[in-house]
Amino acid sequence: MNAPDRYECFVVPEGTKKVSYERDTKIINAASFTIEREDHTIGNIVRMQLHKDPNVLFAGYKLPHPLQYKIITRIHTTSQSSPAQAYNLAVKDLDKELESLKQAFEVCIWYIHFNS
Amino acid sequence: MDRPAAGASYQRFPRVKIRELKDDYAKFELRDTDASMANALRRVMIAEVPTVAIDLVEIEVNSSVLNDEFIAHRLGLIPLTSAAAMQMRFSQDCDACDGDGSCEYCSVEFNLSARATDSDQTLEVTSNDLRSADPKVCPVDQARAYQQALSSGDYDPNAGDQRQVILHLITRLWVLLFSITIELLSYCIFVADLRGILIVKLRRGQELRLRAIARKGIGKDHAKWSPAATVTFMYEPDIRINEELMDTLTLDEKRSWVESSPTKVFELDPVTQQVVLLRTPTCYFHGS
Repeated sequence: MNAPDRYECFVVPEGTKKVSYERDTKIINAASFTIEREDHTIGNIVRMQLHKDPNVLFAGYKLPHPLQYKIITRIHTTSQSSPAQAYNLAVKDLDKELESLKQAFEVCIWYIHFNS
Repeated sequence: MDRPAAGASYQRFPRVKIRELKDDYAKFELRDTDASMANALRRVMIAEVPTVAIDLVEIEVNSSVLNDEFIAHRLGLIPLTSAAAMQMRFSQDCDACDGDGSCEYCSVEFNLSARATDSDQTLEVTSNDLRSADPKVCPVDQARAYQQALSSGDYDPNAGDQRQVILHLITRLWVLLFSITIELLSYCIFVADLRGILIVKLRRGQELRLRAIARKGIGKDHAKWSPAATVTFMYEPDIRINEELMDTLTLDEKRSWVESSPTKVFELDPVTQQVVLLRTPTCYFHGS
């Protein structure tokens, strides 16, 4: 009765921004990013990539409720960097890594087709 | 505030090695990356790879024993060849049509017409009776049957392009072996059974006539759009044999030690009479 429609878990409604940013008022260099209509697939990957950055002191994500399809990622950084910068860097690195993974696959498949 | 060098990058460079690649099964190793990457690949393969499945059913005549929505549900679960799915648009994104299913960019129309003739035999309505408007998108059984009928080795690349993939992740950091098993659409089609997927059985005088529209979708929306049957990954164990202790065993004891493992992990090298790991490790848990 109260369950949302299934397409809501990946279709962003009109007017809602995909990613929104909230600075933490009490701690400097800390912020939360809310990503709409995403789940652990993106959240875990971004979190693990943020952990590799030495400027990031804290990085974590959560799904506030399983029926609300959004993730909140919280990032604390040193003064050398800022949460937005760390986040940008993490996403860019992931983009490049996935691109290289795709190319590695394509090389493998091409190699197999070439040899068969 | 000092900004770090703009070139700082903590990118990993994953490596892939495919061990097996069949029509509906594949196994590969993934190295130099993280477990989260393997898990994300697994989640995306199950839930976010787009395929085509029947989504809208207009029933003209149904005098079978199953009710309309039951049959519509069964039709939705029939797997269709989805190689064309990447070129299609999602029906909610398509602006060329008004969503009634006659648009060529976002939907494929199917027709089914079956009537049990006045004989005493039960008519089985199967996926082979579904007639597609687009030959590239058809029930996988039909594509397979067509392929087997050709049986001269002409491979139709549009038919059943699903693969099972097993990823083995081996991370250098922890020297743990990860292996991911992904089986895409392992339909249990026995070679002899080319009758197609059973939809409904009709008795003498019963009829079923309908028009179905297949659309592109993802597994997150409904499981009928999921291309994957099973997707698993595991760390591949790093096995090291304690050579000192192994040397204290006699040849017979070594042989019985090798044979005692339920899956074939070790072998006794006849030349050197040493116990070694098998060159191409099979899956340590289910021996596949």
